[in-house]
Amino acid sequence: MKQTCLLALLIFSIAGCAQAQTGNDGAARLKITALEESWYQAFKAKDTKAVDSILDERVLLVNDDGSVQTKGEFLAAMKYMFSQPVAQQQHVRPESLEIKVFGTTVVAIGVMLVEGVEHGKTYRRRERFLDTWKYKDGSWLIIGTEATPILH
Amino acid sequence: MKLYLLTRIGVLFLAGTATAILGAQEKDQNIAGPKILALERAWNLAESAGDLKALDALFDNELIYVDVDGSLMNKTQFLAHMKSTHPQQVITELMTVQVFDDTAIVNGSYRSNELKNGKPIVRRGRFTDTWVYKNFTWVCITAQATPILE
Repeated sequence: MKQTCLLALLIFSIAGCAQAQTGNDGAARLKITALEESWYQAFKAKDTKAVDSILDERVLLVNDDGSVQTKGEFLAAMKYMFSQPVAQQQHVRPESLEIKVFGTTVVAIGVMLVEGVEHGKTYRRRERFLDTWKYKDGSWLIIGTEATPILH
Repeated sequence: MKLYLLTRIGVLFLAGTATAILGAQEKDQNIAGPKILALERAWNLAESAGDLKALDALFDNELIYVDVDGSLMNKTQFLAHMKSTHPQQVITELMTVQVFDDTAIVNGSYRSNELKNGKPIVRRGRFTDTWVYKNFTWVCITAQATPILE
């Protein structure tokens, strides 16, 4: 009898843990979806402070031309771009987003439409982006990000 | 019986503590960093040799792979792609790893020597790989490559 009770308790505990994990995954999924949206809104609103708050200090950002920037370089480039006339600025519109949870690490993958002017010529391209988020000291931060032009 | 139970609990506790300590060490930058760089090198060798079994072991089943042309693949698709293409020589030019507890990000650049329409071409690219510590081992969960425009 005791053994049966212990077994039942164990099964319930495992089921409870699995449920809690699924619940956490769901919460993380919602949180990262909201943070991705806030990143887009911050970019649109030219709010470098908000972008600053979601990037980890050690993050390296790989741009669509294969160049790489530290957080400081990226924020400086953002500020410079926003100091230019609107016609010269880059505009970004997200098309899709998928979230995958790996414990306390979450991957956001999607497609965005990027429009702008480069060397006097306008461009419009679709890019695949992948952001890696990590839960650190009570908040989610981007620890890795890269964008690749979609060539077909 | 009580003594037996207490001994078992004690052994389990010690085993748990030892596992936790070893796990914590595995996630330390100084220990995990070189280990992950070695795994990256193993990946290059496996890709050059067309060793799908070795590649399979390096990737998590939920792998997300973004190829240099922006196409998206899962693990099965990536391994099938590797099987159908000629093994290519990939030379890593630069590679850094940053460990964030049970997650590590590898950034680097590479040069690949390929054949296109029978002609040898050299491509350069930048990559970001994400590794997570799972079931006492590091596995790659994402990999993305972007061409370097020169």
